[in-house]
Amino acid sequence: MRVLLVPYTFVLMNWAAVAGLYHFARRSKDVWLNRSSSAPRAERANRRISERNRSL
Amino acid sequence: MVKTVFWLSVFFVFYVYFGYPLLLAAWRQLAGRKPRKRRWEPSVSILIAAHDERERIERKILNCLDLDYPREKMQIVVALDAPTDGTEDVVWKYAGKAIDVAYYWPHRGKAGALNIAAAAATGDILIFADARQRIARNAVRELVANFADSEVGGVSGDLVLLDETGHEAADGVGLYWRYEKSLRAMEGDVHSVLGATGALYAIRRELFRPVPNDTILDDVAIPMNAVLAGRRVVFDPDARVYDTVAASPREEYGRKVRTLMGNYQLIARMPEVLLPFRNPVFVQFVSHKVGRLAAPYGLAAIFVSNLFLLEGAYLAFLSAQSAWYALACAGPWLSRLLPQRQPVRCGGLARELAILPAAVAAEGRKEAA
Repeated sequence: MRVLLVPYTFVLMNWAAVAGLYHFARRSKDVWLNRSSSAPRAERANRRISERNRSL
Repeated sequence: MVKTVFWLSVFFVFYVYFGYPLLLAAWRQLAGRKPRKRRWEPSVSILIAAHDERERIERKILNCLDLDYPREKMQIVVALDAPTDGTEDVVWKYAGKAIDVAYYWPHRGKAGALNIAAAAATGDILIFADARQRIARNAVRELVANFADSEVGGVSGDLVLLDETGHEAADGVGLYWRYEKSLRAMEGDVHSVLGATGALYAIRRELFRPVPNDTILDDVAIPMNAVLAGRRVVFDPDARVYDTVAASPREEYGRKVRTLMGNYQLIARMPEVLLPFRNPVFVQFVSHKVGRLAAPYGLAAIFVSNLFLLEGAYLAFLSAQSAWYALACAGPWLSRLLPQRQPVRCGGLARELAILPAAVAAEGRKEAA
């Protein structure tokens, strides 16, 4: 009986691919513009951790 | 012309869903190489990105502290990604004593959080874990054993979905998930998986490259960098991480859309994955990732071209297609008629069944928003 749901699953999987392209194209600004302009710097991250650990 | 379109589309779709798995199976049989695992205990850093995880983070920290791995060789780093629910209050109890904490504003997203956590890591092996899932006690040991093989640059764990009784939701996972996992296993044996399980995967620290903060599929981009650097990323079914099946159809559908959207982003940002002389898993990537993105258009081409081919076997094929899609449209109602043998069956069905009308409505709402 459950095999009757296979077409539904299959179609939905493929629908998701179309929707993925749609959202990727529509949200291209969100995808391409980072909220922070660069990847985080290791030195800044290390300083924060060191400061916190020293304070404990 | 119409026949050409029809048959090309049929061959394409057949290859994506059946031909490629058969090719992989034969490839594995002829030239498969399992990693040479050996008990090994390098220093590891478990990196956890946490935004609003107040309800789960303590359990995750305790889960990590309970892992079967030498404590002196295991660093745990929690990157607090601008939490708003008091997650930091839970995490600070352990900071400095058992775990290292990176706490920052503004919100960067998971990829950004992992970048920061990786920058603070000291272990030779970076292990990425989500806050949600439970890691099996021996999972880290199993993961790192693969790195005894110098060819291995990364390892993906095995996400096991459990039902409410605590047993593996084998039936509930469904044909689709089993199919995907078998593909992943074969790809790992042939060379590399095309993406790791975000809930648990590991990479050699020297192979880690920070990814843009808005990267959707960090668990594909990060391992792919290792593959492009000439190493393998394998799948280890013995390194298990447990989760429960999602109950919401919309959640599963949304996750799938986001995953596929992430594939487009990955290709746009790492176009070298489409170069055969640059990508060691070019055939697998095009067959699996690109093939899945293009398959719906192939299916549409088959159906539309078949409308112009109405003689003999073509008519029979058109009838079969029509019945298939009619059954697909009836899916939401059929799923309600099925007996619920165990809760996960509905959850497992939900994983695969994200209701088509709801999906259409969801798209409409997003459009309106």
